[in-house]
Amino acid sequence: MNFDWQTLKRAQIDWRMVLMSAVLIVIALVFNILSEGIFLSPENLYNIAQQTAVVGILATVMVLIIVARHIDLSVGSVMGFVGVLIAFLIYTANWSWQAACLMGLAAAIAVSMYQGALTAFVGVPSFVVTLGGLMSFRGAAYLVADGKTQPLADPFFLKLGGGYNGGIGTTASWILAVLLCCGLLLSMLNKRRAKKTYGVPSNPAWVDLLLVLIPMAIVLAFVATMNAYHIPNKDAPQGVPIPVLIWGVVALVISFLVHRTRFGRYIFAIGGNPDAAALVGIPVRRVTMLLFLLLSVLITVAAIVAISRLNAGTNSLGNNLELLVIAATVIGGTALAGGSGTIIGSVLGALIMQCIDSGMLLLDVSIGTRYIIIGQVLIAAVVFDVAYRKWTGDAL
Amino acid sequence: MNNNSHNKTAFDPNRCLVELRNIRKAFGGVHAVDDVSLNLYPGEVVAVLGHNGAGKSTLMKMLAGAYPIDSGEVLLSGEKVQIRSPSDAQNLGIESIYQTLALADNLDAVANLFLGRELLTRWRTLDDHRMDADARKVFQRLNKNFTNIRIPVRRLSGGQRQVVAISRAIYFNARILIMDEPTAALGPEETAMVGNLIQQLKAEGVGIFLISHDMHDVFALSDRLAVMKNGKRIGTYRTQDVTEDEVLGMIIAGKAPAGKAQTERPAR
Amino acid sequence: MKFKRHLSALAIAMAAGSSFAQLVVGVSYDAFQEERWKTDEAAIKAELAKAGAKYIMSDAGASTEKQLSDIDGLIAKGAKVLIILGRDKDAILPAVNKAAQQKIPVIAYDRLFEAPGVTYITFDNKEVGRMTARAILAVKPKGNYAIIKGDPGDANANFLREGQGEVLADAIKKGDVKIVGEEFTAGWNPQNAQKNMEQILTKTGNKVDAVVAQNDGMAGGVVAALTAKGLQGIPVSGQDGDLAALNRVALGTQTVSVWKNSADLGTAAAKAAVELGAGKPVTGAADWAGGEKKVALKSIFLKPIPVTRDNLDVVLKSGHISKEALCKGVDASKVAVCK
Repeated sequence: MNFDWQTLKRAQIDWRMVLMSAVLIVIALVFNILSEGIFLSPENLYNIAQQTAVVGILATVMVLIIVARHIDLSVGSVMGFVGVLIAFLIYTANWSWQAACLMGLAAAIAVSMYQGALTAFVGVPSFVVTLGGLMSFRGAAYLVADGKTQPLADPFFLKLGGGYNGGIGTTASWILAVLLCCGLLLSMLNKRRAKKTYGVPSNPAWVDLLLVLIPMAIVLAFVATMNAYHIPNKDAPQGVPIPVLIWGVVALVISFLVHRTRFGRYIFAIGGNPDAAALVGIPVRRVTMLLFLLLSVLITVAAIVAISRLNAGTNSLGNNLELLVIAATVIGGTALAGGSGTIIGSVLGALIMQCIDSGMLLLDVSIGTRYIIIGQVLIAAVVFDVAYRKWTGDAL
Repeated sequence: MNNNSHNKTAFDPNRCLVELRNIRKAFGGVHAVDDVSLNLYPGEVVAVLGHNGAGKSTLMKMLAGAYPIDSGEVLLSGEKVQIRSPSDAQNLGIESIYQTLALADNLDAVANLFLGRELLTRWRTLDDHRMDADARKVFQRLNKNFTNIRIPVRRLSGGQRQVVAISRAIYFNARILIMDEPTAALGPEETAMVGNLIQQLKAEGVGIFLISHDMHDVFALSDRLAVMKNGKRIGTYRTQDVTEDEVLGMIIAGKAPAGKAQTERPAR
Repeated sequence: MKFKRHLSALAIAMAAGSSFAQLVVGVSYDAFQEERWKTDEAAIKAELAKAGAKYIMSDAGASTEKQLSDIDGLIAKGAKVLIILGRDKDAILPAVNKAAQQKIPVIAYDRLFEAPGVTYITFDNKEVGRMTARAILAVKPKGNYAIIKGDPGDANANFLREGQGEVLADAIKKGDVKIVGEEFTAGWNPQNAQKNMEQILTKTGNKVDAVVAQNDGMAGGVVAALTAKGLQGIPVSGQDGDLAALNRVALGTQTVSVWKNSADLGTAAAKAAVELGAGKPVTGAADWAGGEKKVALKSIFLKPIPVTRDNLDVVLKSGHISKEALCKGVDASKVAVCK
């Protein structure tokens, strides 16, 4: 076997992702040692997975928004508004949770259409539109229930937020793991076959094998850990928490949109060169509206997960969330200038941020120090990103 | 979408390909294009000249569907057509190579070739492999050394980026090609390549509008030339009938040369 | 002769007019995030209306800087007395000093800030802290305690902690009570409280027997975290008398919500404002210098009521919460007031 740097460089591996994963692992190991083994315990990893899900869900679509040269500062407030609305309809107005969620979706769509139309058709910069939304919808969240907390009790609905009954169980988790691994393997084999049919050069076998085995190992390790988390007074381990399942599905769907559909391709084209996109006939305004529509769907999903996790809709739901979501996206390698970003990056970015925060909490680091460190991590990630781009010649 | 409906091997050299009649466009109070008429026949190159702001780019952009026409008509092979968007123009066989090349720098050469007109699988997803294979063939035709088609185009040389832009016209079987300053960013070797390509396309019956500042290119490549100033057409002449000074006179002073016959038909 | 009569008539009219000039009282809120401020506002407005005074207000939307300009605005609109719910005890001082220069009396409402001449009207926050700890200690005299505190920039969080510390001191010294986790919660935000609780549980291997939470919003987050591990039902405290929290007390997932009938606080502040506006001293105010800077302030401390499962009728009778909201999901056979 010929270890060839050129082969690796040409094999279209995103080294940034590899490095970020390595950083994540190092962070986990360091915290594990400092916390005397608690950090990597199944319970703590279960915690982190749940705590990250809401930010993770929103970060996947924020990648697309930033790639398209927009930004949404109002995600936290709108999510809060939608969440309180759904909780209010269930608790005070006595609607079924299904009807309440649909109404929440309708509200989210209305907000997105309004903000999207201002951005796409009237041409107001999305920064300004969503800055207004940030303030307005925080107020709306307060008005919906007159500031009163709306507790939730429906057992099925509460599962969506994880928690005691919110794991899918060991069997289902293993089935999921096997399905995912098969999926990864099939997709790799498919790619190799198609490349052969079309006469396109393929990566050497050992590279492709490695590219498949590593994600498979990660999936299996994750599921094994979730299956090891056993709450003492229950008779079976938790398995994968439902919010993580939801987050995973969201990430896969958005990834599919990015790589396999015209919509995804056009988002990147618009972000790369909006003038060129218009000149070649891409319907820029329509694509932008669709993007905001997608955003509204995911805001609703995130709101549902958030209120079921908290078991209540509070008027402060999602306060400052937009900062965390944008930070996760940027740490994950999405360039604020537009045109560049990956979904897996947003996943890693969200995990890195949450691991650092949770780890520091385990170590009793004071609140002021924690915030300072997280802010600097964000800057470090961007510095690294800029350096990486220079190295590959992708400088923006 | 592959327009095989235009049969390029058999073309009637006497049937006008594009007829622009009394085209007008104003931006606010400024007449960017003021009552301009122009013809293009198959297999000929018509250069459009004028200095910045003369209206030549705007005129061509209207033909390409990038701007709507305020008033006037466009006829393709004798039939009136409505061009309201770049897609309309593309469907009619009109391809453009813009001065800026209209490339998305963050996407690779294959994606750029098919931008806006991606090939789809039967499940309506992107058919990456078919696009890859087709793109490879087209690029090879233009530049045998161009193999780096999977990296973002911002990392390609000026000439390679030009190849990608030109490939759009070739792959989608342009009947009418608009080239805006095609050799501005190219070295001598690549300029020669563009020249060869133009000859090839002419032989296939493609009509070409060439916007250029470069007098040498205009006199070397075009059959006829039209000069615009301040949105108006000053005159259209057979290239061999006028001198460089006379052309400059038209561009700068807007004065048509004395004693020269204008012509709406190609040089034969 | 006639002229002199007109002049004196004019003078009398003006004197009468000025003594009947309506007192304008300006109230500066810091943020409407917690449910309770609406109750305060209603009480203040009612009491001022009774005295014939005019009520104007501003909401600083959780911004310290905005509160300063809000107060300027209230003064500009003619406020002759200010009631200030201060966001930050130090950052508010420039505005307070400005008011003092213009001889406008200032009432520090619920949250302390120290400047000479300020009247401090609040529920005894230290007593609130003591009440939360007492209620938990009564139910769980021995075990591991977690303390979930409020925003680090809020002086109340420290007063509460002091009170809680006093009550727990003996038990801690004897070794009956051990504090296994203690965290501030940015913004008093329930989601942050949930996260903090989860980490404390993980850190201690779930060996937590009771949680002293400093307010009801955060108690909600704590209960969610406990429920996720099947630990709901261990003693949890809170304050504010939020409707959702009282429901939890009835359900048994929260032990106590220290209720400060904010209507009483609003009424007391409004009464004091009217007295100050008429140049009179505040009835019932005593000297107190227990703040950080030890500035002597005229203060009124109202007594809060700890609401547990045993005295839920108190909140029902005062009209603070409806029976329907209090008893949602409650097994009526277990809770008397819900029958």
